[in-house]
Amino acid sequence: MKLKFTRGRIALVFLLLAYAGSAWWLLTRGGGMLDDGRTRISIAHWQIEYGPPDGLAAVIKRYHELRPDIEVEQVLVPGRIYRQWLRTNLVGGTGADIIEYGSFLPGMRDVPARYFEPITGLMNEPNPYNRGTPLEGVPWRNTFHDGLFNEQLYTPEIGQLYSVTLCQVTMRLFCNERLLREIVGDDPSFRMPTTLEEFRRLAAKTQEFSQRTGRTVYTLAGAKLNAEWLLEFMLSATLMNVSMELDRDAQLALYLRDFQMAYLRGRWNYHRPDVQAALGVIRELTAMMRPGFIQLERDDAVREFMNGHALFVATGTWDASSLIRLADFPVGIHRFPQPDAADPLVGSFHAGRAADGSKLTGMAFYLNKQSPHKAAAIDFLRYLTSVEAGQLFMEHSGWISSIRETKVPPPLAPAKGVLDGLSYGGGYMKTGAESARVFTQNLYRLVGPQGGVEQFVETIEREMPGAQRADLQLEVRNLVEALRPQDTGLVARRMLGATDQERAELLVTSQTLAESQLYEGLVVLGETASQP
Amino acid sequence: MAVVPRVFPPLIIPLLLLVTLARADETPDAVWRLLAANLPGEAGVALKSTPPTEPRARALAEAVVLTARQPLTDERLLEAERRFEALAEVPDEVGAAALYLTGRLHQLHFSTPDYTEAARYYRRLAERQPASPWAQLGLVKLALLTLHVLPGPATPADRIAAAEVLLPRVTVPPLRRDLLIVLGRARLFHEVGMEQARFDLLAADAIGGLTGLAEADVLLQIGELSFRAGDDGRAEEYFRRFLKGNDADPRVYTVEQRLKVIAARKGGR
Repeated sequence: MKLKFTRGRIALVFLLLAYAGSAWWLLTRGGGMLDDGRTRISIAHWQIEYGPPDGLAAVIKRYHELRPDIEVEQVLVPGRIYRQWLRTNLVGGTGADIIEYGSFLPGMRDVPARYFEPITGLMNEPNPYNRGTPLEGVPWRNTFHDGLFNEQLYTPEIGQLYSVTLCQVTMRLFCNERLLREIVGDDPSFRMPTTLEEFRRLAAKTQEFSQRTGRTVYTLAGAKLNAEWLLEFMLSATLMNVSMELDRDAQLALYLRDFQMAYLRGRWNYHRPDVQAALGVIRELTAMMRPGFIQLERDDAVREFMNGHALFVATGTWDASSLIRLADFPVGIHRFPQPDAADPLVGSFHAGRAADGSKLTGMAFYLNKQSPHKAAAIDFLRYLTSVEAGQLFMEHSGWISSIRETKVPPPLAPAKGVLDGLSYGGGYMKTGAESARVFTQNLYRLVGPQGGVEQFVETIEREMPGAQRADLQLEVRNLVEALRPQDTGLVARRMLGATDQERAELLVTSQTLAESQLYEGLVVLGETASQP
Repeated sequence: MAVVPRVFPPLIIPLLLLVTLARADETPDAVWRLLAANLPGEAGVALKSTPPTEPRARALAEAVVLTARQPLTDERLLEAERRFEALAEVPDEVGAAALYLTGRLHQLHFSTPDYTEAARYYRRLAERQPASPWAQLGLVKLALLTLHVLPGPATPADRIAAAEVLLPRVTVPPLRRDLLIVLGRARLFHEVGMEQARFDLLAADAIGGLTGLAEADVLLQIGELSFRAGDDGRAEEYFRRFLKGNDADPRVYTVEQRLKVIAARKGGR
């Protein structure tokens, strides 16, 4: 029988061939199965600077020895495109099995609840990869330095844990130790400054050294972001007395909205003598940086430090690996100096030492709800956060591990978080995008030879009420957006019956407490509506 | 031609199996699971193939999908409200949920909230089915509105007094606990009856059941308010309870400093 090759039949044959080909591809290659039958999973993150990729590579290499049946691929995504990459891949169902995410990523608030899977039950079980270590038998969540405090604080659903963390991060002063020796010479009485007054003396010596030798050397490397980190900390540390006064709720901590509401209700402002004295400290510190630092980027500050033109650079310990590896001089890591009760400028307002780093952990990884290989992904997450892998990660990345019982290498020890200071949080420089803009745009009025506290305060007090109001309005809007989907989640869990009752109850409580904050914000906005 | 039977059964059989499994999962529970996972679009699709069992629960799910599916508009929410109101005519649990959700639409979901209208729904539900968990939760929401935004009470003290009246009607322990915390917070916020705030929080703690940060916050608040009130014994008790379960909390150092002050005060007596 002779077949007739009509256009319709040809199309049908092509369609069937395409279907068969696709099916063959999916059945043999799809779903993360390799040709040799191994399971392939991927872990995606944006930490592409020196350190973390090496640390993860070392962990993955060892994991392959333990689990040759699972292939782990590290996906490095540049930070500037991470949000778009994440959203596109999650919506398309092509996201990695394990994904780094941070609650601070703008416009991504809906992501965890939609695309990530809670792992609360597993967190209450011991991590099997900790057998034979002091953490054997310890529930997984308690094997982290901070018991995953931040992950609980920013969880999309109170009571549920969605993520595990990999490292500890603190802000520190990185020092060019060779330059320091040149500046202080063989002075046997010299010790690294711990108080602001001692730091002033070292800054004076540095300036004198620069003038004497004709070399351009500043005490602090200058760039907008590095300056902001340092100034923000110094304002919070200096104004601990104000923070304690503002702690109306007796929670021993203030959230940004607390600063916003307190400012709008007239409980603090930049006219206060203690705030003006703290701004005086900011003037002093910025005078230790090169002129025009506000226009400069982070890389400029690092370059200034690397070229020996700055004694210190203030940055996070995430830069430790890069600085230590790239510098041709020994790099020391030191804690920020702090004002004390004897300080000539702000001592009379001193209320105690401020926390300059905590045990809080970060670089959080989440399990993709759509992962076809959840069991393998969970197994890898467990290994990744075991004592052995924590040690490997730390040694190869230069980042401090989030896992207890890991041994911090001596050069990194000063970067480790220590709980030895008051921790009320800070919102004196910014509580949101608008207040940050007002403060930063007017900073030039405060710093430099032409600047001054009075003219800065005069200007900022004209613009700040509107800015704080805008930031609080945004906070309220965000809260409403976060609360709305919870109604759906709540009714669904209640309809599911006994299995979901516990989660329903937790959701009810968290929603009610969050609504309490929402209405407080609305009351303050209403009370202060007539303000300029 | 003989190739066809060899290639297709291994392809078709798993596909058929997948389709069967997918259909088997299209139960009302599967729809609620999708909604619980914040996937209203997928829940809407699953609803279309759900067998028409439990018609009231299904109708509730359909209305809930309307309140969550993007793009969200006031027109769509009005349609959801119409459906909730129809369901609310029957005083069963679905009807109670529907009445509660109508209140929520006016409280939180419409682009312009109408707190008076929301309060009206919560009151109606509490009068009609006072023991329903939805009515009980509605009373907590009513208290929140009364404390902060509902027109009527002239002063913060009046607001707190009006909300306190609701407390005896909330009999479900976790909800009563939440309401006590909300009352305590409101007293601190409005700076009315600071000492009573401490007693509200103590009463909430006595009910128990809080976990994680919510528990840590309440323990600290009681400890700190007691410290400020000079009730060192109670302050110490609550600070120590906080330290026991929260050794990595950034507030640990502050609490330890408070305990040192208490110890010094004790030594000085």
